[in-house]
Amino acid sequence: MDILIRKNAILVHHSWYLADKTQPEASEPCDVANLAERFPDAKIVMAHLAGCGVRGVQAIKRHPNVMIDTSGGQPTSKLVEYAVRELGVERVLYGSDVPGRDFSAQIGRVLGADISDEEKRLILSGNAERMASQVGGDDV
Amino acid sequence: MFDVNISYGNWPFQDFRDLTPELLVARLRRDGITGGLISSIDAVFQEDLAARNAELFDAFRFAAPDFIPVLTVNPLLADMMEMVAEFSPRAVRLLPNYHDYSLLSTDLEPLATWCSDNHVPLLIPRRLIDERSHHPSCKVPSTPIDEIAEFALSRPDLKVVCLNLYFHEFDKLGDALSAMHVDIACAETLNTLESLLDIVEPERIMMGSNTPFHYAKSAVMKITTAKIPLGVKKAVACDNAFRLIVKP
Repeated sequence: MDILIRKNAILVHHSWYLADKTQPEASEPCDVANLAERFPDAKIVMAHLAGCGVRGVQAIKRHPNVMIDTSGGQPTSKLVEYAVRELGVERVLYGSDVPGRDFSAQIGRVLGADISDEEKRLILSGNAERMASQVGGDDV
Repeated sequence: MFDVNISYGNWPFQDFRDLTPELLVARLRRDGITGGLISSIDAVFQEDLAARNAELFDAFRFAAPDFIPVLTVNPLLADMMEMVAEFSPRAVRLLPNYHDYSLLSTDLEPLATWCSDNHVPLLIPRRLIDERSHHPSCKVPSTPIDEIAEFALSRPDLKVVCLNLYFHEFDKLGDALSAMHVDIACAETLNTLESLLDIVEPERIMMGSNTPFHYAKSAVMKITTAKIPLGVKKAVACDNAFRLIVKP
């Protein structure tokens, strides 16, 4: 983590609240929140909004260094709107989870959300562009 | 597009209270879905299916003939065939996993016979939502795939429609894939439709979104972005469903 912070690089971290606890070693949003707490200068993207759900959004809400991506899982409705409302649109990023998932369906969940066109643009590209411009160094 | 997998009503795990019938239809049309089959969400957990179905049929009368209410039935309830006679549905839905019975139960015989004689499709969701996201106090196993397969194979004259299959589950249906129709709501892999057409005959694949549990746009875009012949695209988007719901 120290290296990532020094390099101003981004950590993308898988996360999911599984209904069955068959994978006790799998990361959950509370684990990402814990990491963010310990490394407040790190830039972290918590993956899989559909798997993190309301509980996951709440877990990272008070950690401004954590963003969430929309990748993966079924296109569960109302979650994109919830994340935008609770975190602010600037903390929500589009992700595809390709090749396990389909670009069309993953983009569709953002385009189908009940948010403004500008918010969709930010999620699909604007936020990532802003983030990319902030990471530093040819040696990253 | 014609969507064979739409639901309406109250769900304890997502807030759909703002979604009136009019708003639901408006949003579907906004996303390019101009017709579909609509089932009751309230009929999932409540036992008075006659009342829940009546509410659904009444609520979507304004959207006829494009949006068609689906009758949800339960063979464990004695009034199942009375309801069928009363509503004379154009499609029927079974929820064996939520209503606690087997698709192989002989209690389904009268319904299967009626649907077959009247050319009415029978919708069988494998699941309603991703099992990984089930509420911890309401984990409902999906309808067993071998039962779905056996049910469809044993009734070749019945129009069985299996909803909400994951992509990796199509292979497990084996020969039964040629005895049923399927939708695309939960099927997803890279280039979903192109990949699905390698496994399922094009005339058996139908547009389904699992709205409002899912964003309808995701299913719509699986079709609109697919690099497949226009005729096949149209078949999946609407023609296959039209053929299914039209009586000869």
